[in-house]
Amino acid sequence: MESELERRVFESIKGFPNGVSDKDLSKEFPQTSVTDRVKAVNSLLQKARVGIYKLPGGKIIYKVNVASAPDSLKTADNEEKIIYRIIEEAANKGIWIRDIRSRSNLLPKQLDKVLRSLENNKMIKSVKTVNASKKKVYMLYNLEPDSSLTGGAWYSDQEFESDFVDKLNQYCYKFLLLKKSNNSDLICDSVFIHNKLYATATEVCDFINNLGISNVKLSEGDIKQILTTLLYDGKVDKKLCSGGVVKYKAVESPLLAPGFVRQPCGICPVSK
Amino acid sequence: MTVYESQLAFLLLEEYFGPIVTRVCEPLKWGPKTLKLLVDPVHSPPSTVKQALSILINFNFVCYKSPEGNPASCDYSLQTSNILQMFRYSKFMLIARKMYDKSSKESKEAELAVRELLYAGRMTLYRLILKVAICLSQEYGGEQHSLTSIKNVVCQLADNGFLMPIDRVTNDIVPRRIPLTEIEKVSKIDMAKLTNLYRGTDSEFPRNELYWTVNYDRFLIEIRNEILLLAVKRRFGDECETVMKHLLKLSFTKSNPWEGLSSPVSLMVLRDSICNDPSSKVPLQNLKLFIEQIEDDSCSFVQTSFNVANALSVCFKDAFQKLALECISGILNEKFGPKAARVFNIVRDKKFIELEQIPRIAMLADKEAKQITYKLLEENFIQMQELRKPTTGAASGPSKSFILFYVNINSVIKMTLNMAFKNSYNLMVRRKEEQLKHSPIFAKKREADNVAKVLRDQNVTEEQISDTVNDILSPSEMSLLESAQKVLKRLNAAQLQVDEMIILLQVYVMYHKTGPPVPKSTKKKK
Repeated sequence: MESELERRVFESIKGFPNGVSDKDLSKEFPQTSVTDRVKAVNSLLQKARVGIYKLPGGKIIYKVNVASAPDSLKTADNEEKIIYRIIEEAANKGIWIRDIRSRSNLLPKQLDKVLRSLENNKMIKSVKTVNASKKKVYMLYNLEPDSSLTGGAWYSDQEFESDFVDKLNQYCYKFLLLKKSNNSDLICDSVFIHNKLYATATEVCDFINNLGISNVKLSEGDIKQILTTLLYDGKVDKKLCSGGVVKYKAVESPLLAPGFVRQPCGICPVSK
Repeated sequence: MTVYESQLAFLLLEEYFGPIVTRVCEPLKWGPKTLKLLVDPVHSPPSTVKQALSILINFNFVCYKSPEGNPASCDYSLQTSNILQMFRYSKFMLIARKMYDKSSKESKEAELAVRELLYAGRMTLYRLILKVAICLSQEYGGEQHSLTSIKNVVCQLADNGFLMPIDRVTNDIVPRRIPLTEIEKVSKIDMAKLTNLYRGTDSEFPRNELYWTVNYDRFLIEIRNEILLLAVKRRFGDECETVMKHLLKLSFTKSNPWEGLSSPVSLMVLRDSICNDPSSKVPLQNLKLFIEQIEDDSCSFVQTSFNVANALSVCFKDAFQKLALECISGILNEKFGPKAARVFNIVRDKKFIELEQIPRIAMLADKEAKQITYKLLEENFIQMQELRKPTTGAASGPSKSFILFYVNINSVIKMTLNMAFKNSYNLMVRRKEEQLKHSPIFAKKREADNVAKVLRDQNVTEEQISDTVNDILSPSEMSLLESAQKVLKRLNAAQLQVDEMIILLQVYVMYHKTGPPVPKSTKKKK
């Protein structure tokens, strides 16, 4: 049964989302004796309602455990509980095994054992990152990995989907080209040109999403990335309009393919 | 001057001027030489060397100058760029022709005047006019031509700066533009004398006449404008091309034609100019719109003047930077694929970039981006700069270094130019090879042509002529001849295309002579 003091201590720790040291906690309860306070804190720790953490400087703080531990963790040993909390804190960004080791101070062999056991119990999972293919990070089993780990829409199973990107690149260009060729004869006034020849990233995005060539819904940012590649390909020109809106237009290259590469010597791979 | 540039020039000299002239030029490749120094290595009598030199000087391929402090001596030096202009002769003629209406008599006269002057190197105006008249009468079957009309065309060419008088003493081309009245004063063409010379009643040409030659620089300005106009046409359409054409014409009369940014042209003047041109189909109410279109584009062909209200300037410098880069992108696109062109453009745009950033911006798989980047690095299209973090004291750990990629545009252009010269050289060698391989068949063809001509003069029927020709050339030989001619035609066309690229890049080099900044190695922090 929870005592009155325990409840008050819990509420007080809850008031410090970043954790509270024992010294600060004693200031909160000037009337209570040290023994009573220690008893209350120990009881909360035992019930796993509060966690005890060691800061890099060696300072010890108490912090409320936000999510209640799953049932299976109740039977787990102390090491497993600690590792679980560390992984839980990293949320969907995941945490690298070396960071877990340095924070938990466990031996590598022991840590491996704990991680394997947690993985077997489907409490955590390991996820590969796209930036460093050999680096594995751990996170809670039910979490969706962050887009910085998976690479967003352009990656599936940590593999960059070149074909998908190329196809999108072509479709975006086609859309802008269509817009240009449909309206090039109808030049009447400046506003008209702006509206008809130029397209914003949102318009292109809507077009691509309506086409249904992508399984995932692409955001405006994704389309902007594609349009940037078109810009560097020299197929598209952009213009900054009022209100900070960037508009895109399909353009023709000002030059024909240079004469140099229209003959064998120009594209010969062995010519130096 | 690069190795391939000089090799190409010597190949041209050998083809059109023969081995002796080429041999005389050979030592000049290493720098100016006196006559004495030239005679020794050539192993020819001094009189031959002198003759060769005089031919070269006549065509402005060699110039002479007395060294400072020694007026008795004379140094001869080679003008390779003038030799290479030989590729552009056909272009020059076309430009002269385009000055007049397509079907008019003047266009033919202008073309012939430029052609004859190019083939002769230099001439007095009397001789030039006579030469053109003789060519015309030959072409039109002995018909007499109005000398006044030819004289007017030649004077107009001179007035527009296409022809230049040569200083008799220093052999320098007179670099100023002389207005029409001045020319008439200088050369005072006596029409009566000219007519007498033409009819053959007088054979003595007037003495102390000025010699004239073709002004390559003025033709280059026209070619430059043509490149710009074509670019504008491809990007914005015909109406914008017309606007640009008038703008170029107006800016030419106002400022130094090689200025990076032309002097501003008032919009009102531009509007009037377009209005007065009957061939233009630009709707004037939309003039501002067309200008806006050209101005807003990333090519930056024109810009609104900052100093003068309601006026426009042509940005030659920026435009040619864009065109040269497009040219490099085009080469990369064909040579290594469109993704290589994309990576090149990204590296150029970002100035300095790390390898890890490239795949993210280019939207390429890491491995592919890496491959492309290193391929471009290997081919010298992009450069690499390593930045080492300075180590502080002995106790610090392993020093970390960053590798940044960047593009040195000027060196890339220089390299591309060199490749183009080499390419042009290869094409010429190949053409010579083809000519040599098929020389028997070409000799037969010449023989057949001669026979046909003789027969035609004897009023033999066409049927009999073709029978005789068929006896000389069998059907199999005919088809061989046709295929050989096709190959030669293709090689010639390729040569012209490469030369177009060389012109574009040379104009860029002319406008951009200083290089972009190189990073300071230690100050960069991550």
